[in-house]
Amino acid sequence: MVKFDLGRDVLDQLLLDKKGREFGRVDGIIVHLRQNKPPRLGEIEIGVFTVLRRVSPRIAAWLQRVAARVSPVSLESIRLPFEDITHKDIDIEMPVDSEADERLMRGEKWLREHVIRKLPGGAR
Amino acid sequence: MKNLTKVALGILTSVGGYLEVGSMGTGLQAGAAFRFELLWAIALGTVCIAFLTEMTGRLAAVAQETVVGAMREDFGFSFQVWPLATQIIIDLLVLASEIGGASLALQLATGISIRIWAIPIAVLVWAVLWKGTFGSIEHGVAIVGMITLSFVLAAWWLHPDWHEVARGLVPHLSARDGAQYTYLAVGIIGATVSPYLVSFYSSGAIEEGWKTSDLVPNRITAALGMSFGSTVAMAVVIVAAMVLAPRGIVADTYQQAAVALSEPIGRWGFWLFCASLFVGTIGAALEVALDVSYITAQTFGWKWGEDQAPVEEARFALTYTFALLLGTVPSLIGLDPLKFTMFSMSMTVLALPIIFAPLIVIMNDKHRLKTHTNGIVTNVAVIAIVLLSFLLAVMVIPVQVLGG
Repeated sequence: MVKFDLGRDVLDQLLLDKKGREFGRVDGIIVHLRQNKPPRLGEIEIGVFTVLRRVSPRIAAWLQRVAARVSPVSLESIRLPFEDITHKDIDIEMPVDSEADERLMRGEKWLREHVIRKLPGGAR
Repeated sequence: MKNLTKVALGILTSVGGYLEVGSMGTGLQAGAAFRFELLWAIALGTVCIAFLTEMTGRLAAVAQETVVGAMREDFGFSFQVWPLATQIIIDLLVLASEIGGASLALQLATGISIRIWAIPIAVLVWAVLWKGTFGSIEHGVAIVGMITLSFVLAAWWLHPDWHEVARGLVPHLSARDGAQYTYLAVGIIGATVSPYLVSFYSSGAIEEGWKTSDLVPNRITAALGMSFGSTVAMAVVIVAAMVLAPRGIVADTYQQAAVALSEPIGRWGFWLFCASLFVGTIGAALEVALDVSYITAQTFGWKWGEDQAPVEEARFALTYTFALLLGTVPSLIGLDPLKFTMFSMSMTVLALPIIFAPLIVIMNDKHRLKTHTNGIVTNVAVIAIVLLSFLLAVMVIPVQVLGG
């Protein structure tokens, strides 16, 4: 059985995809509470509002409402199965392709296509 | 040769600590008002920053981890948001000061207003970051930064009383104007022991791909790089003491201080002064703008690295772009660069404890650093630095009111 210290080994750790590329940090952990059974680790959550909620739920909710109106791309948090976690040193590796998977790095990809590519020298 | 190129990281880092507009400003004022009496503040700042850069370089080499990343992992986002927000504010204030300083250098040289220069300066810094690689920026600044050695040459030619200079290296109180003396001492240490140097150096070490085998070069780089900056900063004080003090020039504006190199070097002295100010501030602006992107990207786990094209890391590149845009505002609305710089330095000093205190935990984490955690000497040093930073933070507002 693999033992984790959730606070030390999982929460806030750097996430790498299957090609070793960074695609975020573990911003939250979803635990499923079950009747008459021990809680089950469900998913890890990645997203700016998840992490801001840890500082101030009110500010996070307000910013989320603003973002929903003005952001051209969805900034909603995404969830990945906890069982897919493997540790690579102190980082966490997930079996995803961060470039191909449309759920991941949506803000980065939107900015890349709609802003950076339109500026001179963006691709060097 | 490979190790020699590593020293460039130390020199680039030290440019941001010693040759930026705030350090030069306080150095000139300190020399003009107190001759060699405040050299000890530069020496003390140098010892502190050399220890801090060695530690964070070691963290990068052994754990492939930056200070900011380690802070989020060890303390969690709920804690880290405070040092992060503080450091971003400081970085933006310092960046604005550097853009103002570089614009001022061009105003001194051409007579054309700072307001006209602020945007071209920001575009120049942005273009270098946008198109350049970490190596080209690092080596470029290290080579061009050698122009600031003109202060060292000038200090040598002025034949100061070296015994008096040596006495200035020993910490002491001044018999004259204690409030201004304390204010300048706090300012010098605050401008030298800047938080962005620490995060920048550890990020640079990751950019360069340092490994555990680089621990000895890391020590040499930390020592030599900071010694370079420290030598120039002390030379600025000595030149001000020898040239400005006898003429009663208080150097509370750069326009007054620009004559500092004219006596020892002649008519080229004025141009070398402008060039040194320009190079130091542009180097610092590059460093601080990059630092804003580094700390933000590392906190949120974005891709980062100056070697990649902007399209590969859009958020990283756009972060320094926005930082530079914001950094032009104080110059455009006509704030005095030197006064704004003094304000930035005070804010820096206030923030030192919250940024440095976590290092005590991070640098003793065996999980991450294995056998390369801090020893007794480095632990004593980091605790002393944290205590000093608390003391400075408590003192900075009163001394600014009384002596600023």
